[in-house]
Amino acid sequence: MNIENNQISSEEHQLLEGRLKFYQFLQLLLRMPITIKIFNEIKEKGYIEGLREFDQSGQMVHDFFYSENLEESIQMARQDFFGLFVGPEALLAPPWESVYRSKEKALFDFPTFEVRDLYSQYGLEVKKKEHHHDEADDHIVYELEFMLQLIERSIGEHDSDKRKSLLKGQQRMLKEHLLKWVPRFSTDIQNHGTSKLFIGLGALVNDFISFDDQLVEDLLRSQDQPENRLSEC
Amino acid sequence: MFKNVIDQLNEKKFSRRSFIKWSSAVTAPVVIGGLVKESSLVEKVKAAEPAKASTEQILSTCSTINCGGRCFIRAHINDGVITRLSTDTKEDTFEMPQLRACIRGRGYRQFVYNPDRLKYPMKRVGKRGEGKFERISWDEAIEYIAKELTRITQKYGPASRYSNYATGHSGSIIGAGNMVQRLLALTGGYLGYHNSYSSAQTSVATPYTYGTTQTGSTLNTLSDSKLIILWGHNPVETRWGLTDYYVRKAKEAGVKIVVIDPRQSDTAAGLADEWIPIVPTTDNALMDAMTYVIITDHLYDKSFVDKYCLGFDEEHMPEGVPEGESLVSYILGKKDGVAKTPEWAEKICKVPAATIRKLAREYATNKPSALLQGWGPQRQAFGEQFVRGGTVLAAITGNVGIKGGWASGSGYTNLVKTTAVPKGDNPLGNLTIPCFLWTDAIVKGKEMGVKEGVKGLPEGQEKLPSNIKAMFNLAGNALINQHSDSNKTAEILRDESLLELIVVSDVFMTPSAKFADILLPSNTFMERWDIGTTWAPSQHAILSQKCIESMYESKSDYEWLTMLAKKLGVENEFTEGRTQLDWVKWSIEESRKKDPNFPTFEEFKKMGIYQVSLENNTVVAFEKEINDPANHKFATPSGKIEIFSKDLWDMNNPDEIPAIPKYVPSWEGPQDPLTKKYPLQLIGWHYKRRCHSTFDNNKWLEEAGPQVMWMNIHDAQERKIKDGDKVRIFNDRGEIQMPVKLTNRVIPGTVAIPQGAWWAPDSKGIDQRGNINTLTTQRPSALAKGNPQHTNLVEVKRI
Repeated sequence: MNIENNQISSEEHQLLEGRLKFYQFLQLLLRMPITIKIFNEIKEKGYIEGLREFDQSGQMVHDFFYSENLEESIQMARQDFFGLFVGPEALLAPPWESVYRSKEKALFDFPTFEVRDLYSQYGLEVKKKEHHHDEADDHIVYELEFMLQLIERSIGEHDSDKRKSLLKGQQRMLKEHLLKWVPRFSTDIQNHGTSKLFIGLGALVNDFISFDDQLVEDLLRSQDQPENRLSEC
Repeated sequence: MFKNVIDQLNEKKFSRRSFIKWSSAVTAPVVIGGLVKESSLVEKVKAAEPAKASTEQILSTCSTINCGGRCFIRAHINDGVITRLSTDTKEDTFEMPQLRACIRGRGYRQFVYNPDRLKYPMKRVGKRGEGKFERISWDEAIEYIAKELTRITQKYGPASRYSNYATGHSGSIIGAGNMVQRLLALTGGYLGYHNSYSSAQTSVATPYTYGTTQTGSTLNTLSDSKLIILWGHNPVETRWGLTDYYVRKAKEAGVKIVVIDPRQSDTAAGLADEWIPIVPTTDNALMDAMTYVIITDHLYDKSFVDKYCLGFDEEHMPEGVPEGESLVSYILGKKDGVAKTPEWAEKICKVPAATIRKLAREYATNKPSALLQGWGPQRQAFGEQFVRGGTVLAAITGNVGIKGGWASGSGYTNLVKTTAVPKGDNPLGNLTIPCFLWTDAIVKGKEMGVKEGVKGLPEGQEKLPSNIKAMFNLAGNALINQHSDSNKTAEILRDESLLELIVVSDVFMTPSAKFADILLPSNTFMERWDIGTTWAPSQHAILSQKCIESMYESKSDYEWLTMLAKKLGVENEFTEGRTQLDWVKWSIEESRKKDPNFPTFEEFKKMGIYQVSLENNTVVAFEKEINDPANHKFATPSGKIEIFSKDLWDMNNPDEIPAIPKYVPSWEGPQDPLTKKYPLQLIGWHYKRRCHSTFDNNKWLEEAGPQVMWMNIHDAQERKIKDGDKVRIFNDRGEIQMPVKLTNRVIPGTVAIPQGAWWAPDSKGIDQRGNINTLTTQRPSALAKGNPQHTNLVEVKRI
């Protein structure tokens, strides 16, 4: 393998950076109920204008950040967050892969162990606290965290074999997990969400992972076929 | 090249061009910057080591939900996760049967790992009952409860504090309700309760005959019977300890089994030789007519009644009672002119006279015979009569105190005794209300006295000192779902001027939990230590072992009550320095003082079960009283089996509380004029897929037992109702809309809704799930002040 091939092209870099940011963006909104502080931060730095180009879903999320009645919109989004993912009522969009893919529709089924294994292969594990029950490994926030940590590493990785392995890990998470349940999860969010943020975000997360699947495929192909390097296209 | 392909693929959604545009405009590291403190995935402590081949750990446990089965569960744990459950696999013998799980036990994994579990403490933010909550910390929750409880106690006194009857954590040594009473006792006292929602009428009525509720024999004796009558008893679904097993064994031994029930229950379908359908609330008409046949055919055990019983005939009556009040006089119609013949009864209970004669003769001539009463028929308006009637039939046929007979009545006996964590003494003495009357005690407690069932009022005090103002509803769904008349109850709970504090703890957002001011996430039995026992007659206890850590921010009731005790300054008194595990060990040592065979903690941990073999341990209720009456009297005022109770006579309410068991035409029974408006009787039953109301949200169990109402085909045809239709079931108290199943497995004129479904009123208050208590009444039974939830009149219409 020659030196040239080990270097990451600027467009690859740009794509990886973009993916990282988008996963961070999604994960943040799925991770905790939105507050005025998060709202402002995202609005200020998140280039909300640009979301409008991502179909209607992006437009919805954009509109949320330009709501007329800010407080009411944030309140609605917070209610959605609890109603969809936390409770106390029966969850409208349970954020765990096992619930969507197991026969029992309960937590801690085979996907938990599959993703745990995948995390382990990349030296990662769910943060544990003594005398506390661990959160299930296949929570959407962990699966997205896995993506963004591997992307982050890919950016800094100069060894093309390692970079490829990192991309393979991302591909496995997408194909073996996210793509297998997020479409249904996303439908639940869209059907049961009431705020623009979550109706939009529900669609956006689904659109993005299928888009990202293609991106990862391309990125992997470009590792194998230098003539198809992104920068040369 | 491929760039174009992607752009085409995502034409309408994501394009790479717009994606890159967005990305470059976003300031790095942006969105995460300063907002997310820590990442949730961390570097693995040990670098990827290959998974060991067999790391599975197996811990035995049992549920501490008030389940009739209390089966033995083995949790298979891999890497901190319960991956599957198995159950008892020891040799299955007659003396030591396996404690296998039924579908409820097989569904425990989905109970623990259900995504809908309550995860964090919550505080109500909307109107009460509206269902709007906000997450708070445990400290905030404890602070709020302590402050409100202190304020309410200062304003209304300790008798305003109440812990509601609940069974979500019971049949164990550290029940949630007992623990909150322990804490309330340490901080001034509380209003207690007596009775239960399961057995009020039988627990109160049985002692009027026998002086005790311990009327059960060990179940192996059923195989010595010649005939078993299961009267409103459905152990195939409820399990009732090992009753289903031993009835099956009796059947295999050739014993004839008769089931009397308005429904052809799973027990009737699976185990009975004969099913006798009966009109609900008319059991005593059948009993009276059976007694008539037994008396007039001279089939009663004369020497037995002469020797052991009071009140059979005029020659054996207590002093001070006028002529004509004995059982024989009543049955032959000496006073009222109505002989209680099978023809008389047939008109009321719809059992053909010939069937009544045959049943009476079979029961009286096939000695020993066992008449086992379920607890369903005693949950009716005059359920006490049903209980007493059964005991009298057993007595006059001489089936008491003999192996293979059965004394009837409540039927308790326990070979294994556990020691509960003490509740401590209530500074208010034994001030209690019947548990069914708590809604009355909220609205008009200060008007409630002895007549309303209050016990333990101090000298000179006629009424309760306060209405209930602070309510603890821990691990229970009787705050609305399992209590009668949901709409009326909801109205009482919604009124924030009545109850000023409602604290609820539970595993899920139940209908009761919706009415909480403070809603606390409870852990499950898999996450804490306890010891479970079963419904009597019982022969086992199981160590309820902690298998996993508490999920999310859930805690056991004992844990958060300890926090509350600390806040109230009584932590040491409350815990006595013990954790739940310490209490389990303490309980074991206490039990060992009385029963040296009770296993040590280490032995218990290893074996999981303490099960007593019935070999050489057969119990026959009242054997001593019958074999050696000189030295063993019945614990009644007369020392005899009281067919006639002078205590009941002295209550001077012969129409509703007769001194001998009688058929009392029931309000909302088939003879109530209200049948013109609401012509159908409605009963419930304990459904195999739920333990009371627990597991109603289990999706697997919903497949095994969908929520449908049973209706006889004849009743449906009149109403043009088809199988599977959604129908309206209604009376003056409310309305349910649910699907109907047409069947000949329920007597015409009666519809049946499996009890325990979670009340789900729509915006008009119409229950959309099928909670029978939408239609039941808060009017209590006459003697016990118990819940009459199988006594209802309704109409059904097609939607």
